[in-house]
Amino acid sequence: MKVKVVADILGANDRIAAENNRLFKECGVFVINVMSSPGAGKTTLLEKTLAALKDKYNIGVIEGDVATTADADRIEKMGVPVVQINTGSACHLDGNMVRNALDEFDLKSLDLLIVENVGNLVCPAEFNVGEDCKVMLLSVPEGDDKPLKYPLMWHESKALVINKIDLIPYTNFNIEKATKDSLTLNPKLDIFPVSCRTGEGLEGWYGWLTGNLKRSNA
Amino acid sequence: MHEVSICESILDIVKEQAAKEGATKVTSVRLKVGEMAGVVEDALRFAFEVVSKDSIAEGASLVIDNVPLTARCKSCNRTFHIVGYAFCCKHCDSPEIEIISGRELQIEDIDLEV
Repeated sequence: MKVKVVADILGANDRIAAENNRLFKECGVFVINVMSSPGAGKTTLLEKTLAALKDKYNIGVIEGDVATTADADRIEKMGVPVVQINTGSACHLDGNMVRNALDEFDLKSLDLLIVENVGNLVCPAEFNVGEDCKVMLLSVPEGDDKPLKYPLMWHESKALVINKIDLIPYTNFNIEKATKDSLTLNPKLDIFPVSCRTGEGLEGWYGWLTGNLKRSNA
Repeated sequence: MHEVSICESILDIVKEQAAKEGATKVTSVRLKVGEMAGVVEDALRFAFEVVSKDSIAEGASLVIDNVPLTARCKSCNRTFHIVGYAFCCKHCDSPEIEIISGRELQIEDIDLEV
């Protein structure tokens, strides 16, 4: 017997993500989902961003990792509320994991919630967690060929931070190529070349983030 | 690696349908997988085999219908196949395009023994 189903396989996750998003809207909190490969500098970018913006905005952080609380420990030192999710074996956060972490926050008091996804350039792009937008990070040592190799993540993101540009002189990373390929995949992508180590370019990223915060709270 | 999570979701839907129909066995599951669904077919087949073990769907064949990545240009209104993930119109170069297919990740139908 053949049974017609026509069901979205990730429908269950999408429904939870939509519920999360409704809750975020109700509470007036802007949510970004930060994705990159491991070691690109997500947590360092968060530390810099928190140092620059935490006096002006109330910010919370959800840290996703397969194991350890190393990243949450770093964020806790910045004096903002943080929850660590250990996924065990899963290579990405999903809507349900984030929903379960939300009880730990007073969402109504937050302006911005940053979700740092598990380091991975493939899977996180498929699983919405209820965010307003996805932001991705590419670091110079990974190579300028990454955009075309991982098109889905580039396509899904609203902003791209290219980190560790202070290392460009020591590598064959071609930032024009990385930028051109990124814009081919996503012509509307906002791109910020930065060095979290030297601070170069970070003002542009802060400006993008605060602009989005102001728009969402308007 | 997320193919395991996807197969767990497939199995949840399949089990629910099988229970509804009072099935004793699931023999086949047909999927619609878009070109940009972000799944690797081999990984999906392997994950399904592992996840469905000892369930009503153990041994069921996975039939995969691939859907090409296509878009419609909002400027010139033509539709086209996106090649090389170049997300602008291949006729007029406009970046204002909307994806009309290629993101599907759906179960189409299931073959059951009742």
